Amino acid sequence: MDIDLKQFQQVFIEECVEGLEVMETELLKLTPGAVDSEVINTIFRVAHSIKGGAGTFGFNQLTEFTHVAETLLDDLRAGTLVLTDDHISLFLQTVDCLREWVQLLACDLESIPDIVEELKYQYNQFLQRDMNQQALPNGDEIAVTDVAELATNAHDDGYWLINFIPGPDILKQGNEPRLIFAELQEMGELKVTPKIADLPLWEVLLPEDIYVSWELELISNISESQIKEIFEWVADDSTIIIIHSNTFSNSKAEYGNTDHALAESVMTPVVSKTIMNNAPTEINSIRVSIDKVDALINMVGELVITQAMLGELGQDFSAERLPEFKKGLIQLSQHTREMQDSVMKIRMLPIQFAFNRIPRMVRDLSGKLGKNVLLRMQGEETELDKIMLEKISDPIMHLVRNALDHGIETIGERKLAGKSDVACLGITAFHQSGEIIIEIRDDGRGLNRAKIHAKAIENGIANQDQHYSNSQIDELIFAPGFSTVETISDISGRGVGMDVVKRNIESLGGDIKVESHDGEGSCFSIRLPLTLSIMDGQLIKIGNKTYILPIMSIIESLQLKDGMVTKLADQTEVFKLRDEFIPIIRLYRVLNHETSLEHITDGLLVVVESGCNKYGLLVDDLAAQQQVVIKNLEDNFMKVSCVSGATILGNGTVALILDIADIVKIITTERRQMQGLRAHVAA
Amino acid sequence: MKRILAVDDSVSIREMVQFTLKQAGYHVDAAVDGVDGLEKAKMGNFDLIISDINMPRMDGISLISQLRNERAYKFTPILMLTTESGSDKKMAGKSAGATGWIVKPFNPEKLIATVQKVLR
Repeated sequence: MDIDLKQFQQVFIEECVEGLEVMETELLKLTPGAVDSEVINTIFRVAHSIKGGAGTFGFNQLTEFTHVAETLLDDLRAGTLVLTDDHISLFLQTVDCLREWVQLLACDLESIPDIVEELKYQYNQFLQRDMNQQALPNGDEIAVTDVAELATNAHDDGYWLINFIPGPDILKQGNEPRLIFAELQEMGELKVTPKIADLPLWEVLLPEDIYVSWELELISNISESQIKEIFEWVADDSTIIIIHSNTFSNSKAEYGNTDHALAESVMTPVVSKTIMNNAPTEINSIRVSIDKVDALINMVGELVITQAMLGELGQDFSAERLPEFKKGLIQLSQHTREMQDSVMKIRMLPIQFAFNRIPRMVRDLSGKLGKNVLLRMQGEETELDKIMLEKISDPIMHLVRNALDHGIETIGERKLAGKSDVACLGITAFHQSGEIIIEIRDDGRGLNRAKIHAKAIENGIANQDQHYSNSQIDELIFAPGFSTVETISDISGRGVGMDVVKRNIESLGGDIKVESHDGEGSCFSIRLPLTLSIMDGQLIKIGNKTYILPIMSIIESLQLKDGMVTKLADQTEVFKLRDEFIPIIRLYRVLNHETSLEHITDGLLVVVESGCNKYGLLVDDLAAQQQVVIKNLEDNFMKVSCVSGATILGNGTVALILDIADIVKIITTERRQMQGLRAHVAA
Repeated sequence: MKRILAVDDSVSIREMVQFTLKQAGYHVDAAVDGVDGLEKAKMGNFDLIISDINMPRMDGISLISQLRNERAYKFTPILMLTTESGSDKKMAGKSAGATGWIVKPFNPEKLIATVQKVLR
């Protein structure tokens, strides 16, 4: 039978990725000196599984490496070594290294991470063993025996006399002499003679014990080691005497030599395979709990029943059956909605996956920065769409990094401020009215508003003459091109600012807010929709066309009155909403449509937020609000500017979903070009 | 059709064992750890149980000794999957009542050959 192990490699790789997460989490629970046996067992099991799987699925170098790690873990587990911080760090490095390695395997690359040799060396330092004495992992041993067996097949027929005196317990271990004999019989000609001399008296006979022994005569070209292998499982409890009529045959000596030669060739494995230039691929499958699938199947069942009922009604329809028909339709819509929910749930994963990397980072960073931080995570079980989960992970990490680097003070500073040495970093996720909120809260120094204000003016983000409220100043940190740290630290200043964080979150249909109190700390809260593929939309009319705006970005809508609109020097129309001047964007112009509006006051102004700024979008009319299923335009057509996707409305027509950020970008570039042109003309 | 229960906490190994033995014409059920294994063993009537050693909740050794206490599994062959080349795990398994062992890593052919040793 030919079974391709390739099909299981993918599962193995995913398993490794998950195992490494677990390993990391558990490692962070360890404290030097005191070993929690449950924790170390879990870590051991992961290493052990990876080693076992790697061997089985043909990744021998990986087996060898995890074997070394496992040996050290075994010593720690057995208590022959005392756990130190160095061990923990080494294991953590190993986790990183294995992650990289597994990624390489996922891309079918045979190269191994550079750090492997270095880590192996460190392990061996701890194990205080010479590399040469290191037991070969099983993968190689197997290779030896397999080929050795082949080599022994060339034996001449021999006569074997085997005396088999079984241990009394072998039946209770599920070993049956009958099966052993059957196996021997396959090797050649077998004669079995039972010996019952040791059979006790009936009164003292234990029926589950074995009292018979056997004399076996076998004529076969089998080797002694093959016979021993057949008896392998009973050998320890039983007495087995094997006699060969021609024990010192020449072939035997040759066999010894071949064995030696083989062992040498195994030491230098010849592994070379063309390295494919594959781009690293993300692992794109999802594991779903059986309950969710069952719920879905159940729902499909219901749907089929409803469909059958409606079908039957349609076959034989008359006016008096209308109530029945209506009932069927109601059922259908109910089932469809429930099914939609179930399908959505399949894509949902606990946010834990995004949180998992946090404890490790907090440990590493707080050590590096000389800060004492207590990390509290809550709501790890909150579920989130898988794609969203992958994309939100980096922004969260960035915010945590920022909190550690900028927000939380050093121990000295905290003492001066009269705070406890240990800073608290809280990360919480929860559901709130159909959205997911993720909060990253620290009890550090809070945002330095004076500095932010000054910096914003310096960078041309804020206006010197304008008065800013506290919350407006706080918002400035999300403006593009803003960074308060003079020297770029290797921790948070990687050229990626809060504007990128904000943009990433907005691209997921969410937003981010900050709340800060001087000397008491800050709290960043991220708001995300439950899923990317369905959103709440506001239908708007422009001319005779219908478009959709994401409700999440709408602040309010209002009707303009005469005199509210002012034209700036560059022809931008603005209006004053409370204390702010808000630029007006006439959507029909951007989208090149006819409008039914004769005057700006005939239409409605939808105030939306994009980036840190507000804009007033002029539309002809507002229509209904509804949940829309987002269809990707790029998949079906091509990227269209100003449009983030499309949806199909109840009446079957397609409506485009407007991309506010893109519209704003287009308007701003246009305006800049105009200004440039004007400046050019003036010159 | 002979019925086999495969107990392993690793999905990939479990799937591989399951797939291989199904291909070889056996009926195969799987369990994720010792507790699950014991429960499933009690429910179904298996002709062979293959179990990993290192597992959460209940390890293979405890599973084997618990199974041997069950009337139905007193003489049933139980094979352990082990990576340990050292014999202490094997011995522990043996004294708990294991029939034999399959040393990891193993390939499908070896697995089938070993299973055929006890299921004929």
